[in-house]
Amino acid sequence: MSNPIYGTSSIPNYNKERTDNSTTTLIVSAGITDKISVSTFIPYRYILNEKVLFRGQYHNQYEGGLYSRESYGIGDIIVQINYQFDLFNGRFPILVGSGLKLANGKINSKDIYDERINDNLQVGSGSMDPIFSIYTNEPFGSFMVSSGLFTRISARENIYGYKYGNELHGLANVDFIGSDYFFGGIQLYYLLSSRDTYEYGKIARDRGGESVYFSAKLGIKLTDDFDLELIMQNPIYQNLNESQLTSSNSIQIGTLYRFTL
Amino acid sequence: MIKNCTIISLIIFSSCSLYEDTDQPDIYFQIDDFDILQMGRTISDMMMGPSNNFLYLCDYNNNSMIKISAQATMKIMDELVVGSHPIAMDISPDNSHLAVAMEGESNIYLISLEDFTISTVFSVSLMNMNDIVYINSNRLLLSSTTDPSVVAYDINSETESSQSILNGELVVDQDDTIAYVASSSSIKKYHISNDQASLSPYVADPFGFSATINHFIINDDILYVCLTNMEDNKDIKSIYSYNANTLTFAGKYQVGSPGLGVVVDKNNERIFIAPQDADENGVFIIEFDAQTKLEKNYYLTGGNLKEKCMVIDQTSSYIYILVNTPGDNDSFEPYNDYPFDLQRIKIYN
Repeated sequence: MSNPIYGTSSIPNYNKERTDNSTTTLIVSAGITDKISVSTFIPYRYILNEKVLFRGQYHNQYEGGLYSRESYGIGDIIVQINYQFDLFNGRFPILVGSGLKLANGKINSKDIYDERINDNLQVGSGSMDPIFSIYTNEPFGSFMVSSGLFTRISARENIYGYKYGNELHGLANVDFIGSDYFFGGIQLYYLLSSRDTYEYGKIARDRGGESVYFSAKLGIKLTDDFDLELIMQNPIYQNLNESQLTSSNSIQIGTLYRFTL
Repeated sequence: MIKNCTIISLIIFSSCSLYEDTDQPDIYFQIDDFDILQMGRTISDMMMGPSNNFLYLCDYNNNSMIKISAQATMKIMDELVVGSHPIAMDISPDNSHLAVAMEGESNIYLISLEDFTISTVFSVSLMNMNDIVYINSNRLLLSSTTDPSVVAYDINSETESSQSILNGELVVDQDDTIAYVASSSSIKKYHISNDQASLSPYVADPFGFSATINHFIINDDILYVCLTNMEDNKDIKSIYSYNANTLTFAGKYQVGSPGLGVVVDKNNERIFIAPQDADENGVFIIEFDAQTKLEKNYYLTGGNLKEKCMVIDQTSSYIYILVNTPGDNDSFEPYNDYPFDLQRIKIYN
């Protein structure tokens, strides 16, 4: 991320700030019965933030210059249980999920001066939060139409007094599934988040907002049980609180392996 | 089925408030796209021309003077090579000439503002000059960092006379009878209506440390001085002001670090200060209310700032300031350190 936005407008990146955010997520999903399944998301995160400081901007590096912060490790694990409802006579099955985002991710990474770096650059959030999701899909000929909502509600502040804002994610997909060798599709992704807060409820600037992304997806069915997919995501609308770094595009690479126990 | 759908819909809609930011943080500054003229120069002094149309800059490293259009889009209109390291300048009271002092040679250049050409060059006895001011259209005061005394130069008679004025940064009041000097220890006041200056009985209290003078101005009988402690360049957190008549202390404007420049608006109500240090969010020009002496507005700049290099236009619509963006300093050109660009900032109404 290196493109700062203020509200909906692009602004100069006066500190030449850039954040590289890489996440590798292992998703394990298992069906217990026909209607109940359990999913676990285990992310490994690497975050690198670099900027050029002005004179006096950071007391440990008074004359300014290049300043880097990084954190890495296993992020907060999500455990979710899903139940499938058939409300429309077998069509549009609705999968309702509920679970927890654990507080296992590290939140005490430090910079080279041994000072703890910002909460939003830590791999973990430091609080155990409830999550809810709802998802449905329906095939139409060679196409699969699907949509879903996912939310994380911040339950409490972490031990440093920082509390992340709530998040609502919305997805709408149209995928081509008519080939035995490849698949592809498009996606609209909506993200709404509220502001973070510091200790005693002090409002954090530069956090929260509303974004809409458009994604194109292309995948290959390597075997009957193994898929490989590439997703290119670009923002098409962003209205963010104050100034925030954004990315003009992102790439996701995913694999899916199905097995039976 | 309808009952289930209704329940799910109600849950979704009632939970929307979870994502609304009902409380807003206090935002004290705007972020707009910077209006910057890329120059990449090391500038030692800057002034707004009398017609409010042009800015004049001393290009220290390139031994030249630069004329910049301040209308619409800023652009360099003309460049004039002068002597070794122009360090300071002043515009004559009749607005006809620019007098430029050199740090690297003992010459003064008079530049015609009409056609931006050198009209006269004359020698003086000083070396390492640091400041120059017009007393009137024919008489100049010159200061040097190495000569303890200030020199007066008469342009008509081409004569020079040493004055009993301590060296430092100079200002002359509007009726050209009093000169003020910010020296490394204090501010002093001199009567200059006669050929030989005399020290006024009013002398300001000493600073209490050995100071570098970053900027020194007079406005509406108030003197403003930006100082740095030579021993500790982070020690001073304010700029000082003095009553010009009595040299008594008139106020401190706290900016968190030494001031590098100060300007006052045309109504003498708003004071703009360029600090040495950045805030966590960037480098800001800080506006103070002249009456309450409290902070009023903040103007985000594009980089580190520089001493003496801030001006305000005559209508008090814009501030012009030199900025050095640290991320742009990755140059392999020899001895090319800290080049500055010119930023124009619109003053809030």
